Amino acid sequence: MNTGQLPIDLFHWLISLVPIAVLMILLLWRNWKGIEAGPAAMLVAAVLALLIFQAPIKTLAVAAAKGMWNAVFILYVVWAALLLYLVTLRAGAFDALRRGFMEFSRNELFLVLAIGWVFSTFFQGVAGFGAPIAVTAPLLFGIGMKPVFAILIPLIAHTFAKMFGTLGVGWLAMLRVADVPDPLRTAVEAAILLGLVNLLGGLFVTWIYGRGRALLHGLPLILIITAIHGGVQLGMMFVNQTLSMFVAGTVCLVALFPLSRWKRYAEPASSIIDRPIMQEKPPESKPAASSEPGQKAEMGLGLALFPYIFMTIIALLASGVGPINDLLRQFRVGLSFPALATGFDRIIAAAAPYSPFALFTHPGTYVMVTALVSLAVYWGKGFYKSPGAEEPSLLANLIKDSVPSSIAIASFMVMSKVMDYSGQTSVLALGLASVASVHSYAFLAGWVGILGGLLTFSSTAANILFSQLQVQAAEALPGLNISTVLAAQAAGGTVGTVIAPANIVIGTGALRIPGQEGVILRYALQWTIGTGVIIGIATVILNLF
Amino acid sequence: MRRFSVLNLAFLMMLAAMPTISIGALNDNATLWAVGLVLLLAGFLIPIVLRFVHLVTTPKDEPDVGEEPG
Repeated sequence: MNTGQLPIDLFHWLISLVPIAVLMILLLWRNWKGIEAGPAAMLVAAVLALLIFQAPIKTLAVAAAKGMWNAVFILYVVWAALLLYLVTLRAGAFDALRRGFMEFSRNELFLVLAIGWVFSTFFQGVAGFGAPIAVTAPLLFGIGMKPVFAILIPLIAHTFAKMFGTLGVGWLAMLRVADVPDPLRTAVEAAILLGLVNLLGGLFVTWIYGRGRALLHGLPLILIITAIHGGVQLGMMFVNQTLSMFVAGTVCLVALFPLSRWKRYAEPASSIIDRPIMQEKPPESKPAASSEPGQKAEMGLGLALFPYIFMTIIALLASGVGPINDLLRQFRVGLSFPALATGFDRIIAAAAPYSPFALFTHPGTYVMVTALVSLAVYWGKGFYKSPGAEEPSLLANLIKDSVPSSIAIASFMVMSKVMDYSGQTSVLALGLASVASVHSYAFLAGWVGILGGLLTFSSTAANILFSQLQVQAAEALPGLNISTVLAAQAAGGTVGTVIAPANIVIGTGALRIPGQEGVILRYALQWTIGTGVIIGIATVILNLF
Repeated sequence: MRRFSVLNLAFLMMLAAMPTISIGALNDNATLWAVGLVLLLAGFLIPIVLRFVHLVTTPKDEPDVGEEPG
């Protein structure tokens, strides 16, 4: 990381914290919506960049444009996922899914963990950019979960998979930007810490579902899922790190079938009485063909699951088959930007093009193609009917629901880039590193990763931003193991994305509940703080060996 | 003017800002990148202003699923 002559002092550290504080205060305590709080915090970051961090206006303009460009990668998934949601909702597929899942297992906790944890993790193995949240939140909503929790659960449960998911992109980014002296040890220790994050995710999801009684009932299942996810991922570190999460996610998905035959999880859990995250009355899809005489009354589970099976197949083909991936990746578009000088002698290199967009291998394309094919299939089978005169068209509905979340996500991404290019992000991380001892830095290393995940909304971007800084800190503090610190960065980066507002807005956009970001953030913050403390302690222990 | 239409306009301004800033910055055309920056900032200001200004909101503007039940 080129840090130039950045001022690492308490004043600049506190100033750098202001945009994040403004964002959190507006969302959590002033009840602003993401679409309002995001732009406000972004504007604060821009003013501080100009006045305190001496960033030239041209640099700010380019940072903002690059931030918008980064947002396009996420917005594409949001738009596609929302289209898929609208198609399946209008076709009546959610009713069919709910009925079908209940036949698969009548145990609600099993379904919550299977969809919200195992399926979202599997999907993270092949796709990223928030697609696992956007795809699984509507499924959880479909089985009767309150929308806020339908977003919260996959948000937390699958986050550990981000480091080695999407075919190892976060890991490859770390290897590319940092001097990693012992990649195998780093990968193994990262897998250990991520296994811990995985376990804490499963425990939290089960606890909010039904508190202590649910934990008692679900504990064997939680331990089995954790052992499969964590054990397979750890074992794969010695074989193929980039495929580790995909293999772990697939094995666990397959394991669900025998687990669903286990009587404990095949029948309803009578001991769990209080289920505060479930709706008293499940949501109802619009009756598509069921009310029309002469047509099929109910959609079967196979047809209802068609979009998700189809999406998995094309994602696997496009991402996992080398020659197909190479062919599809050839089509890339992007905007170019010149080299820039920022305040305090930092230099940003020219980019031509900057972060090109590989349209055909982007997860958004998998979801978009799935939505369009599903629309054709449901239409052909008579389940999808054209909206009446009183109803908005599919396109009008899509635009109406996606624009507010799109503006919010764009503002978060622009804020991230403005803070990065003005030096605010580096000051925050370097400030932590400058006051720490060996043990305290071991504890804080994960928190630097969390900060990166929070600020960039991506564990991969967090690794790009802070991995080399973590290496430098470890080199400056004899007794601190570089592999352990990088493992903490990996785990922290994934945990930080849980409280990144853009990721929350992906869910509120997909379920069309804009304005509920603060409610979700409150729960996510509790889990993140607790998990951050446990990762910190685990890192201190790992550093002793 | 409907709130929904204003938000659409704001989002379009943000999208238009990207190529404007890119072309302006690459060609050292200060007017062009400045226009792009103004478009972007204005686009982000609109949702904040809308918080304090009440525009027409029709039932069609509201999400179908609604707020969290219970």
